[in-house]
Amino acid sequence: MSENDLNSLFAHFMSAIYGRTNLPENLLQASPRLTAQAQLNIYKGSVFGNLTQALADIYPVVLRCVGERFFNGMCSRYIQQHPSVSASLDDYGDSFPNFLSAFEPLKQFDYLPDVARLEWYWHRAFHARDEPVLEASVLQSINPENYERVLLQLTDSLTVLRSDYPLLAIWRANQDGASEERVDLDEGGGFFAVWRWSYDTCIASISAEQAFMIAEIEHGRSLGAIAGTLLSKAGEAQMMSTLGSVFQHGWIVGYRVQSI
Amino acid sequence: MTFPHTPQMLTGAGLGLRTVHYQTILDQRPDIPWFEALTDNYMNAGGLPLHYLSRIREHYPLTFHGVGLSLGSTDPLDTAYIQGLKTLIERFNPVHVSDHLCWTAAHGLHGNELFPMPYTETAQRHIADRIDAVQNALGQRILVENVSSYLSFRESKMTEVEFFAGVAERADCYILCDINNIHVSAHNHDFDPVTYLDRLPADRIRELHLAGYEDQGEYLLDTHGAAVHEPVWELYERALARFGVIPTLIEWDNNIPSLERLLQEQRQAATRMRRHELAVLTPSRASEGTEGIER
Repeated sequence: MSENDLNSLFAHFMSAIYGRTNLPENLLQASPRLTAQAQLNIYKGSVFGNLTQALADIYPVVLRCVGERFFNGMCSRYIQQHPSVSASLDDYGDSFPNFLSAFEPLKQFDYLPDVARLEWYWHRAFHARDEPVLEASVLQSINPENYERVLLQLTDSLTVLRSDYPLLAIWRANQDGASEERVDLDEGGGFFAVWRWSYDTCIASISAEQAFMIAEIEHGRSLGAIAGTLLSKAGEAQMMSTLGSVFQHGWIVGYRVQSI
Repeated sequence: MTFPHTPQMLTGAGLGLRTVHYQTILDQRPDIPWFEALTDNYMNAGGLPLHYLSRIREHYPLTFHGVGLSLGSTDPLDTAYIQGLKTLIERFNPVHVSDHLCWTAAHGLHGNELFPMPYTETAQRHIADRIDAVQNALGQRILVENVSSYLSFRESKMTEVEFFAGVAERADCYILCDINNIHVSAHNHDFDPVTYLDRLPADRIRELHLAGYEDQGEYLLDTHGAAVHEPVWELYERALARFGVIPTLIEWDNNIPSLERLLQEQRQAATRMRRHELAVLTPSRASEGTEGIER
């Protein structure tokens, strides 16, 4: 057996695990109790079982919405089409929301892909790096004349999602111990933020102004420029409350003052 | 590159650290000599698992046990994974760092499962050289563990234990001997587990693992979801007699019971270890048998 043979043996086995090709006849040695195919199937069951469990851990609300049997069947299809490409199971399932969008049997459940996106962002925020939050009072140490040069830094854990559906209500209704109250899908959507504050992973419905401010910070616009736009668009009171809120939510972890 | 042989620093019976027990451990500080952390659960940038691991590390020594090095694979070594492991080692200073005698990925596809090697000379050289490369990257010896297996490759030309012993010799690594895995594989492949133990190089054994399996009728499945079975305890006694009192871990990953139940299992291992220690110190008592062992 050469290194090439070893490489080819692994490739054939893995391809058979994911059902891309049949198990080559000469690969495995049948035992008195287990045929070659039965041996492969034990491993196949384990691989699909582990990956399904990983998806169930990351997408508990989707699981609850569709039920375990449907979820497991859907995962088998997903796993075949999207094998794991990372040693870490925490990386697995990023394309699951898009898969749900295209999954014909879920056509009537068009809110589910956004629910899944929310859950993926929750998962990433849960494991994001730890960052101390910047207190709003820090701004008092900066001369307001310099606001045009102040760039705020958002926590890595923050993601904003725009959806036509009431994602927060759906998410809350599917947590352990939630009330039986039905969610009205027609109540509309909006902007939703997912982030981590210390060790609490948070989900909140946010205003269009807050979403705008987060997007502007991400695009590298200065505090002064953002405040100016908010003032002209929404008035002084809304501008002040939006500026204060990005700090109060723990979204800001730093700032820097650009040199002239 | 070779590394100086480190003295045995762990003693006694440890427990696998599981997320459901974090708070209980911190609240109750159970009398456990060490915990094993599953490295792959802590490879993220931050968050609650790492926070808890730090707090538990303040009170207990740790060992690191991973499943992601894919030591036997023919894909390039995952340098980002190794760097992540190195960062974790620097932060937590574990007494042992271990992974498995297996491969988990091929041509970029990952099974996230421990696939056994074909037992050939080529594969033996291949995995040993990769273990050596990992040890060089980490700057320390690692422990390599035998896996439970449910298949045989037709290409195999030697027994698993011949393969394993040769790998350990060539890579100059330590061995983590999983007693349950030997029992499971011996049953599935009709080999003698005692002969397997006898052929392992005793001087390289640094840790033993114990866990429970499930009988699936045609084969035994290593689920880590039950108490240690009697034949595995018996094999464990043979291992203690052959290797001496080696630090031993109780693993329980599925249907995880209360910490109290795990402690009962841990005490069983500790009691057996103490009895063997006593037998070495007072040889006349060695023949007294297993009566009085806590069940």
